[in-house]
Amino acid sequence: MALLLLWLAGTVGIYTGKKFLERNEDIITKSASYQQQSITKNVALHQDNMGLLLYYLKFNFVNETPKLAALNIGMRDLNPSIQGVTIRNLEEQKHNSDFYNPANAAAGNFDFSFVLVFLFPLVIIAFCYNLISEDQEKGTWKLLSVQSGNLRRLIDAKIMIRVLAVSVIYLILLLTAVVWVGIPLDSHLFIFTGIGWLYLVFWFALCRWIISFQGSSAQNALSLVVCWVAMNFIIPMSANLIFQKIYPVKEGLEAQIAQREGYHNKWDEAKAPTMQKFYEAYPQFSKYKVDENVSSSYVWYYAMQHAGDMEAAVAAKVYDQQLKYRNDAATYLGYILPNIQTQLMGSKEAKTGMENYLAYGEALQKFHESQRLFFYPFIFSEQQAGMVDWSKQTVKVFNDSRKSDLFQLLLPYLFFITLLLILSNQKFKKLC
Amino acid sequence: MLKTVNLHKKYNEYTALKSLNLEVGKGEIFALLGQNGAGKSTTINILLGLLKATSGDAYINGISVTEHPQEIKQHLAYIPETVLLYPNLTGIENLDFFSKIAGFNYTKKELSELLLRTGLQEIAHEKDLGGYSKGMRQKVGIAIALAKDAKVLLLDEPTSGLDPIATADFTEIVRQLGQQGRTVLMATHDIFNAVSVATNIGIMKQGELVQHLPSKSFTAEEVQELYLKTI
Repeated sequence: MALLLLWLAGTVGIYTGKKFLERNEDIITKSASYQQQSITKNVALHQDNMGLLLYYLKFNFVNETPKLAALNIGMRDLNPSIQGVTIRNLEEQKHNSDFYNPANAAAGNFDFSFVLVFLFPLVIIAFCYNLISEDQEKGTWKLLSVQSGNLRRLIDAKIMIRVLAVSVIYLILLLTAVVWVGIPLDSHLFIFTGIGWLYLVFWFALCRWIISFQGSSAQNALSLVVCWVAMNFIIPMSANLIFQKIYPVKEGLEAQIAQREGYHNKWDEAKAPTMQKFYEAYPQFSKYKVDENVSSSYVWYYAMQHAGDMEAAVAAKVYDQQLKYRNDAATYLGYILPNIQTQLMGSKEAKTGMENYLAYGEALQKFHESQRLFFYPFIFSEQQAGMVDWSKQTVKVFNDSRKSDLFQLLLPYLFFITLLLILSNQKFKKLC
Repeated sequence: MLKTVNLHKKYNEYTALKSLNLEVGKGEIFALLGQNGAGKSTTINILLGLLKATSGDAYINGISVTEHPQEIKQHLAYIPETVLLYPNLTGIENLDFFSKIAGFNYTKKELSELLLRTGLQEIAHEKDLGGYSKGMRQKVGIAIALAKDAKVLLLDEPTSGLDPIATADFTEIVRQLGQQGRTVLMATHDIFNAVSVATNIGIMKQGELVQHLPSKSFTAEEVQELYLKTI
């Protein structure tokens, strides 16, 4: 019954991920045609005014979402997998995106990783908490002890049967996901599968250690549930509070304010200092001069937009840095908490974690810059829109190709599994 | 075959066994008599490796119980006062399971024959143990001990609660085991049964072996009188 429920929960988790992926893919697919339609419509409207045309045009930049993300939605529900940016200031646009219902985000998604991290251990606890104590409480332990010359082997055989049963369900679910979602059989899937399975083995090793104390069924169950609650809620939540205190990310707001003030204040200031900074950043555009007395100029306008980003640059960098520090701190926490490790490494393989988000942000900045550099000459030399080959302005995709370090991935699991096996073996020596 | 040397067991201030010296040879059946708390079950539990002696040692086939608690289990079979088995398994399944963990892989026919030897009717073999009477469960317990083919049998009040016919059947099986060369140490309250089956009788009081009698030299009534005087 427990295995059936686990299979059902896992299937629902895969379905949740599949729906998320489909919605994501649908948005990305439609965005290509919407971008094309927007370009066609705006080019027709602002044929003679490239400055105004580029004020409106948004260019989509996709953070490639692997199929594996169906098993670990991670932060992708909060951080969009596609962002449309104009060539105006970036900082405001970066954080001005749609995201899904925050209430849903707070609770997290009921995806496969949720089932793996939270529900599988509960079933493992239910399977193992009374492996010794049940026989002791029913009175069969004495006879078992006398009959068996090696009780540890008998207990291990019982555990192995449970490991096998849980592993079969785990693999059936992954196989279902591969077929149903179409996840490619690549190294990411194998690593995801491997760390998930090691996480399950960790829980079996923890159960083995707890039952080796030969406490009563109630004591064992309570100890294991306390471990589950502490590992999944108390420690991560406390750590999160500490991380927030140590690495506050108020710079996100600061960057936005700095950008807005940096840009808006320039309207009331002399043009020369703004242009001076712009020419320093882009000497190639210094030939496009702006007269102090002219009321409007796209060179000046885009220089002001650029100034906004320049003034927000420090805060933006600190913001990204603080997020990175938080992620690093969580990674270190993962070294001692296999559930955190499973979530983080699962997200890493599915490219749905913080590292991917930061890498995408960096790539988005480069993309934004390349679009600026491409369009500035057309705008500043007041070219006709027809001079641009708009067919090349397709949706661009960021592919996060960073590889995982297997040593870093596996070490926490192997360390804790080995440690728990050694500790329980010590206790089992006294088994009689 | 079975020997205890100055076996001593203390629970905090309470002394459960005081320097017990006992020797049971091959083919001998030794019955330990005594009141509750006299130290009979403590002796058996130490021999089984389930309890650690405070001092002294016990030997099964010359192997120290203290030094090799796991190894000595290969040479022992045990029948408790109440044989507790898995109620959702049948008699034959229980026998199969407990034989397998002892390292014996019997065919279904052999398992059935073992149960028949104990007097458990064939019709009961395939029934869940939950529906068995105490006597029937004891018979499965005996079959488990027989299946292990152990040289030494430790019986802890095995006939307690059995009806007279079941007790007589059981006594006969124990007698046969002795004749086959098995060493049997049996803790019991049943003086008549002890006299009828045992080769030697010991009376324990407050952790000490206070009487050691060859049972052939005494009638049940004489042993009973001695027992009542001793305790």
